[in-house]
Amino acid sequence: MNAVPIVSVGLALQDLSMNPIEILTKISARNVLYGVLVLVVTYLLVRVSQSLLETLSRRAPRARFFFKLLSPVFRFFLWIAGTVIVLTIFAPSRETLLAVLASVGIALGLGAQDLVKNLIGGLVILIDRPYQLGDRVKIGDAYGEIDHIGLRSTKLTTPDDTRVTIPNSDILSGKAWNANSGVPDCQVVTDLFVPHDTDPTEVIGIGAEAAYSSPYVLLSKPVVVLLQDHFQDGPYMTVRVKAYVYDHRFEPRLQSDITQRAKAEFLRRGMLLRWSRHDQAPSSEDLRAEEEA
Amino acid sequence: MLLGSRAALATAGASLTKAQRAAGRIALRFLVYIGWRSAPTIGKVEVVTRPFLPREYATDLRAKELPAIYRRLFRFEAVQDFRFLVGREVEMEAIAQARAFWEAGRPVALVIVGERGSGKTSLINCALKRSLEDLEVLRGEFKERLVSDSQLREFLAEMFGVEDPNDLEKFLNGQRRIVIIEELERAFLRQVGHFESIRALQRLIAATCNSTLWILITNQVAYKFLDASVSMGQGFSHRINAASVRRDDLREAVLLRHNLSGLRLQFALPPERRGFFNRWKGKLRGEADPDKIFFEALAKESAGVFRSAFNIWLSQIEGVEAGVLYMKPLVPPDLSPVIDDLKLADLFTLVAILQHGSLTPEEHATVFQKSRAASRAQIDELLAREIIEQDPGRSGYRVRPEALRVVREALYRRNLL
Repeated sequence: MNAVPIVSVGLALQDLSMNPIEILTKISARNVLYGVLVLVVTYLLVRVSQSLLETLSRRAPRARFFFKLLSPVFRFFLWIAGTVIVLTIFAPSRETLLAVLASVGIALGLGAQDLVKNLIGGLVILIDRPYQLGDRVKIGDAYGEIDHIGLRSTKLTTPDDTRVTIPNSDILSGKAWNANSGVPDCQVVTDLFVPHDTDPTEVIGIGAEAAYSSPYVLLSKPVVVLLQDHFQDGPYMTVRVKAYVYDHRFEPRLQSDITQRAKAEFLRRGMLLRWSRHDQAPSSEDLRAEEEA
Repeated sequence: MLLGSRAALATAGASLTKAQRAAGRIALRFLVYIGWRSAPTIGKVEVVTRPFLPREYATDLRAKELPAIYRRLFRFEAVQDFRFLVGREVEMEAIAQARAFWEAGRPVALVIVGERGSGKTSLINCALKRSLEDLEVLRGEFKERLVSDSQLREFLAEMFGVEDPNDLEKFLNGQRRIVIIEELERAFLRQVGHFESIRALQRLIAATCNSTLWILITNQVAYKFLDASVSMGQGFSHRINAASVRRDDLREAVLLRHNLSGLRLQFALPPERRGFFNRWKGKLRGEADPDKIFFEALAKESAGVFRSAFNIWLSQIEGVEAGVLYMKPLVPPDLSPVIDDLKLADLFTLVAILQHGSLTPEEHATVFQKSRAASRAQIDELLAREIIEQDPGRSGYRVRPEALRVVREALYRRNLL
């Protein structure tokens, strides 16, 4: 396997009628120092630009997504610029540069296909933008907020504060669900459960008032309450409250707040007493199975 | 020559020492970061102060030393005299049009929406003397919190002098008259089951708007909430947004009052701004007109709200000397430290206070489903920060008029307004 890159470099140089010794003559202590210096400066510029954009997004939360959109673009172009400068330091002539690029390309193509796929995936994500930094997405079985879009992988943090790293090639070939697409708000669905013979009008009213009473709800978008009967292991009714949270980071809190408010009212009006009397409440396993279905 | 090279050597030596120290600091920070060395205790900040509201936001202007006539001219009361109503021609026209509709036998209900201090009461005072004169007027204000159908009916029955609260429809349909009610934001509480009174009011308006010209007045934040939650806007044929006025109107309103004082006016130029772009901006603008600069800043800072503008005007008075009123330049302070220091719970409380006009600790506990003690602590914290105060003449706590700008900006930044 190790012979492949060497052979490819040789072939590339042969094609361009180059003397292989020419490249070696460019690798001097001074050039290496310059190269390292350029990479260090690029790294510092990337850090400074990311920090600046982060500060701006904190200072103007309403424009948070715009600054987060710029973040990977800046990082990408700065690294590209740094790499090009380093290459020009080591490759004074166009032919040599092309030869090196060709050989590196062939070597990567043969020896590191996954890495190349990921890099292409990273580029496609930057151009196609199925999501951006700060979006709440579901990729595969991972769900959370995107906090890093790199050339190799995308990283997201789940509501349980666990970081998930997903190779970009997986994202290219799979599906990605985006809940907010570059805006702070997103729809939140909250399911409530009541006995099947509860007054539907009353339940819809409670669901809507519970949503509007929550401090997390976005008032400029509508609240919808839907009902559905279920008959697994005894009849019950699902009250589905669809509301928008003003900042998707508070999605679990809005769900919890709506549930708390609605349940308090159900209990106050004695709506859940029928379950406690007849012991007909669905078990948690049943509810989970229902949700998955 | 020798002296010159010695000086150069000394400078180089000093620079080297500085560079060594800087490198040492960076190395130490790195070692502390990786846990190789413990964090040094020397140099830590010993005293940390909470960011305070700027002085002009916290001073009680009623206590400020001002000429007696000035105090009277800029008092915090609604305008009764039509001459002092400025920038409300369109709104006055809309009220006149609403009356004409109603006189033609059409069902009319009107809602006036605007921030506290934007001149809603002044507008209605002047309309009563112009387009709404020669009509029977029943005027009131929701002073206490109403949450149920029966509470609303009892309140209205008392206001109208009707014995039986169930006879309200009969009374209102019996004769053509105007009903004006202010502080609509007190007719609900943001909690499940506490919207009954506002719904009852909507039903009553719908049932009687052929014979009664309803005029309700509320603040902008409350209206936005009610329109979303109970579709408040659908019940009104006219909505008048008395939110903000233009810079020229603010200038006219201020100078109208000032000129009656007989004092001459002297503005100071704002200090030259630092920074490359600001200097160039100043150069491009040409010669600075202190009057224009002041009123531009006033309109921006007050967001076109009369009360805020008057507050700022009074707070910027430097003093009176030999018949001249000297004004300090209006330089907007950086509110970021105060705003960043407000926690999410504080912001939610402030939104709720704006939505309800004012909130008592008990109402706060109901809205946020907290214990009364927790709600009391939350309110006390905001009181200590000089952001809210006891609502004069009503129960509960309101946002201090002086702090309204900070609150508005803080809520807007977090997408809460």
